[in-house]
Amino acid sequence: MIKVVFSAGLILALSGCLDTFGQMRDAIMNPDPEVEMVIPGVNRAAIEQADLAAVLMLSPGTGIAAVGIAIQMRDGRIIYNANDNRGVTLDGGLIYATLGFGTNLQAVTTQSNDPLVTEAKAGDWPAEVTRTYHVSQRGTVFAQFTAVCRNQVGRQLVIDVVDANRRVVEVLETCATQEGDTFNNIHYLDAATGRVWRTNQWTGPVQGNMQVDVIDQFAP
Amino acid sequence: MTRPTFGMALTALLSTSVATGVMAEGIGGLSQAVDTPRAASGIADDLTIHLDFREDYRALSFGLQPSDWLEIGISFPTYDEGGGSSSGNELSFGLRLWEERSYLPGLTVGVVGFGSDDRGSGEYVLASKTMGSVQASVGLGWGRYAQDIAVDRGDDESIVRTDHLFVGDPEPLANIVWDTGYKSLIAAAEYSGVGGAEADDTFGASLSYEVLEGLRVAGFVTNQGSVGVRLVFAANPTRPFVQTDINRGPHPYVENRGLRAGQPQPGEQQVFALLKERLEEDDIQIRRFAMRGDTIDVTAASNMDPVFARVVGRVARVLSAIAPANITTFRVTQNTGAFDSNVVVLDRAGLDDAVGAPDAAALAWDATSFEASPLNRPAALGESTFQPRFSYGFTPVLKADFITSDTLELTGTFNANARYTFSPQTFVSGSVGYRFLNQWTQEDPPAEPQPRSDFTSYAPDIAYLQSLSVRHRFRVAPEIYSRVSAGLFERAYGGVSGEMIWRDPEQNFALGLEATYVQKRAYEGWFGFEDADASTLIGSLYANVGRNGDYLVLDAGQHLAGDFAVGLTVGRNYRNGWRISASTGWSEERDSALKFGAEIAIPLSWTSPDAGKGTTNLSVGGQSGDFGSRVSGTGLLYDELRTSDKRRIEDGFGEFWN
Repeated sequence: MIKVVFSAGLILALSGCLDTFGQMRDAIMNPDPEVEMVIPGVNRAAIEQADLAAVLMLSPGTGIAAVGIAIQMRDGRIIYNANDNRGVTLDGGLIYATLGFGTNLQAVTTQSNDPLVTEAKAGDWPAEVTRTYHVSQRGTVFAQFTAVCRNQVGRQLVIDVVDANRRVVEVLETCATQEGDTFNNIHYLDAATGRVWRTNQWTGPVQGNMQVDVIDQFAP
Repeated sequence: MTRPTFGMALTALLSTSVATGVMAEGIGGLSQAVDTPRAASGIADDLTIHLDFREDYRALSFGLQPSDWLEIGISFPTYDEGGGSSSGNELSFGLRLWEERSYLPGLTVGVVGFGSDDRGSGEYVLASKTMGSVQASVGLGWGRYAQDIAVDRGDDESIVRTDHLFVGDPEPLANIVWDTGYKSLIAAAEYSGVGGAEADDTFGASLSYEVLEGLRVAGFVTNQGSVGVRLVFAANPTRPFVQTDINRGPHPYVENRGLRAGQPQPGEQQVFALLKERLEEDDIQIRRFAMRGDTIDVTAASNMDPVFARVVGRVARVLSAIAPANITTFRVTQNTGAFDSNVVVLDRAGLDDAVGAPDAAALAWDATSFEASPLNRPAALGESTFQPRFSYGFTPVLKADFITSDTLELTGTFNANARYTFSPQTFVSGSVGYRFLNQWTQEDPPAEPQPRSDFTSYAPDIAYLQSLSVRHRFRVAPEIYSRVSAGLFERAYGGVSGEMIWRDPEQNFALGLEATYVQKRAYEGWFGFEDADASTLIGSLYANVGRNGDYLVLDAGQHLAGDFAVGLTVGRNYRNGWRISASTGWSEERDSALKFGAEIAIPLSWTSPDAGKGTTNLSVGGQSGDFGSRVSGTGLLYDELRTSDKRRIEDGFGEFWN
């Protein structure tokens, strides 16, 4: 999976004459299927009736998909958990941690004004954001990957997020690590508020990109 | 009756002798083009196994890379020469002195056949440059890279010979390796100034193809009329082909804060039932549970997960959610089967501070301490009376003999194993073997039994009793582990054996002492003995060193031939259960060059869909000579206790929250 994303990023970064945004978006959102993935059915009505904050989590790299319910808030981050203990921790719209999708993203540290965390509107994003990804390795100290991400605002459109239409603005992030590896994220922000409805983010060198669709937003 | 998971143990025992002869080929497990060396360009923990076949030469080689800049090779070549053959045992090093830069080449220095000046030995200096998918190397070579007969290059008569290194007139060498990008084909071409039967210079070419992930087959040819095939298995235990933790996520952790103290608190039985139920989903069994005062004491084990730190983390996660608010300490006892080896003590408040933090594993480690398990503990929930049981299994074993063979002669043995276990500490076990493949040259029994060199005198082609012994393990103090064994330990010896190991769970080393008295077993029949006995007394130091899973075992004492000998094993444990080690030994009675062995243990989860913590073992070298040899099959305790080493658990602590 990561090879696909890296390759796509590298090729397209070097190809100035291409329709960069559209092709990169397609590469991120429609990766070559390395593993077959069964997407669970979602009963949106039941979730909304129970007033649950919920997300649909998709990991194309490992072929795992699950629906997570918000079960806990820790340090302002929301922990979504599925029946088989797979889950993500969201810091605003940033995937802060993952569990049960392969190699587990332990944490992401970022700058205080990270627009994904503050859920800023697309036009208010700073030119670049630096994030550090923490992944377990041998011993007690996590491996760290620091990446600088530059963003590009795309079109406004209406997308279907788990059977609900959302008017969104798409934002593409092109990221490069200090080691020279590259990856891309793409986010679909609410056109009016900047909250994330759909995001596809890098979660580590093995696990690759994961997609999170917000079925029902967390409301404190 | 229970039957253990069927597993395959593959063992290649290669007996070696000093090499002499006229041709030198292959380079001892280091990076190579065809026959010439190439730059050491791998990464730390790369592992390769080479099998070379050509008309007049065969070799099995291991390549290990302990760091990015160092390659180590252990090779067992066999050379045909006229009507016979000779074999070698080479230890080789490739050292990357200078990393390749944008405009500057990398520099590599190599020594093949270190410690020996025989036909396989040689040295080289290489400059290498990578351009896209092409790597080119040029350099100078000595010994085997400069002469067609590279023997007796020095006068040094010591066990480790060094005065021949980089001595004599060098010859140039050059090679180019191209990853074609087409169906994983790699092409190589090379030049060497060494002459041969057909020409004054040697040119070679090869083409290799990856038939399975990690397994390559290469064909090669030289202008000297040599053609051959090479199989290369390459892997890196830190970069597994498969992910090991995607079956299920861990239970959510719940901090012990706020209003929990004011809520109704569950009782001991209730907590035990919930803990057991939730951990069963993770294949973790609770074998003892006690809730006393502010502490919960759990004995936990997993038959599937080789990373004990992850088992401890999953226990802590569930306890965090269900333990009463007044519980401040989780104690997780590690059980090896016969022993409660460690108590991992977790401070609950420390875990509360750690969970979700960017340095969560380091903080959790800070909240962890180790204790020895008490000799006696009060009765607790979950304890069950042990039921004696019978189990059995089958093990095929392949061995190759490099001493007596003109070709790579093999024996294949099918072992039927059975065990009756009286208690967790005591069992009797036996093994009956049958040699279904026998290419060894059978020798008549010698006039005087020998410690090891008479191993081809034991009767083939009939079912034989490999072993039949009883073993009892016990602790005499919280930190002293003991064993007594009696019976027929192996094909060649039977007798009595005792062992003690001292280990403090907080320390990264242990000390052991084994005393054994044995009688030589008869060459024919199941229960007879020859008129020869021996006693051994061997002390051992087991130490975990560094922070990469590295360890060493140092053995010293009286061995089977009555000789004083020292054995050294160095290796690396990986957090996913792999273990790679190399060994050598010295005996006061032996004046030949040092010999080397290697062992690789790969978890069955990599080779079997049934997974589990068992391992597939591949070993080369080992005991073949009469000196520096000890009795096997007595049941050394460290084999059982090694997974309890504090450093091993620390190595896996990155998985604590997984």
